[in-house]
Amino acid sequence: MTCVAAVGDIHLDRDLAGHLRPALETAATQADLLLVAGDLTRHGTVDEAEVVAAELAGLAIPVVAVLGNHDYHSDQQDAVRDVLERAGIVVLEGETFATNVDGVTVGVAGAKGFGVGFAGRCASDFGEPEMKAFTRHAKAAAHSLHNALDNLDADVRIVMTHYAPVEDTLRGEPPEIWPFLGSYLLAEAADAVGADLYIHGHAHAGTEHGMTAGGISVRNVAQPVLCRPYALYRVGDEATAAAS
Amino acid sequence: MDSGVNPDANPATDIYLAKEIEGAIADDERTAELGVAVDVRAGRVFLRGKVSTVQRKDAVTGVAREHAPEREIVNEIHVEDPGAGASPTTAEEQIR
Repeated sequence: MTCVAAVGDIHLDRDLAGHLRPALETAATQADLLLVAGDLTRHGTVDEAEVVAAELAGLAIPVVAVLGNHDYHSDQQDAVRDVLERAGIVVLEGETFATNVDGVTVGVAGAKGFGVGFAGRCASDFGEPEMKAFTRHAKAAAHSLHNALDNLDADVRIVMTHYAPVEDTLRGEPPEIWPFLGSYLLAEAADAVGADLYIHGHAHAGTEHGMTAGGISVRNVAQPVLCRPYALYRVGDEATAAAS
Repeated sequence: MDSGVNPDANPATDIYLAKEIEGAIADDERTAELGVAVDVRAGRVFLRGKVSTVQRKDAVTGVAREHAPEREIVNEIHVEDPGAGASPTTAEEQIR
């Protein structure tokens, strides 16, 4: 069985340098993989990315991240990604990562994702150019996630985005802002291809547990939701391990 | 008897002041906190939510004060160190 540690929305800057590291070193003794579900920084600057890189680099397990909206705020997302990758952190945007854990291939398909809302209560591709751009970005984000999942060849399949795929894990947030917190298109993409676990962040006042319509367990790991430095999830079963 | 109500209080417009401060706390580079709720009651500005350090809590007070210099700022924000609470016995959840 595979154990993953997961957290999102760590929002690091110089103020918090070193605060998370002892906890992450503990996580590396418990889990096979650390997943970081976006909003690694506060403003998306290179300086903050360097703090994140120092915090996450050199752990004994692979660290796989997606960027969040905060990581785009200063329009330096490519440089942020570069700083993280140079520190050995895997950053996914419509891409996949796979590793072997005791003979089992554990794969992650990741992307930032986007908002748009949920079935029956979402933005539509109609009207002003700004509204169409918003909706089309949401569709492109889901399409990119779908492609990544299509390319993921793994025994244990994990999806990770920053934005939420379901309403379940937004409970606690005002419903009026749900269209800015997530998109049903992300869940639709995951359900179309299939996965064992869906990790996201972004909704600080949301709820940890949820599920897609297709039955994929969803976990909101935004740190303010967890009220602990990270969550630990066991994915797969003994049968998966034995068959591999 | 002192009612405790700020003479500048204006229930009709204080809701807009609260939203202005909340927006500033989210947008200002010194704070960039999206999880702080602002409420103006009886002329006083209440700040509630969670941040990660005392410095961030103080920065939120500073930004609120700039937008409501005449008002009392009551900062009830909880400081929660994200690194605290890790232990080798952190519970695992089995995903089914």
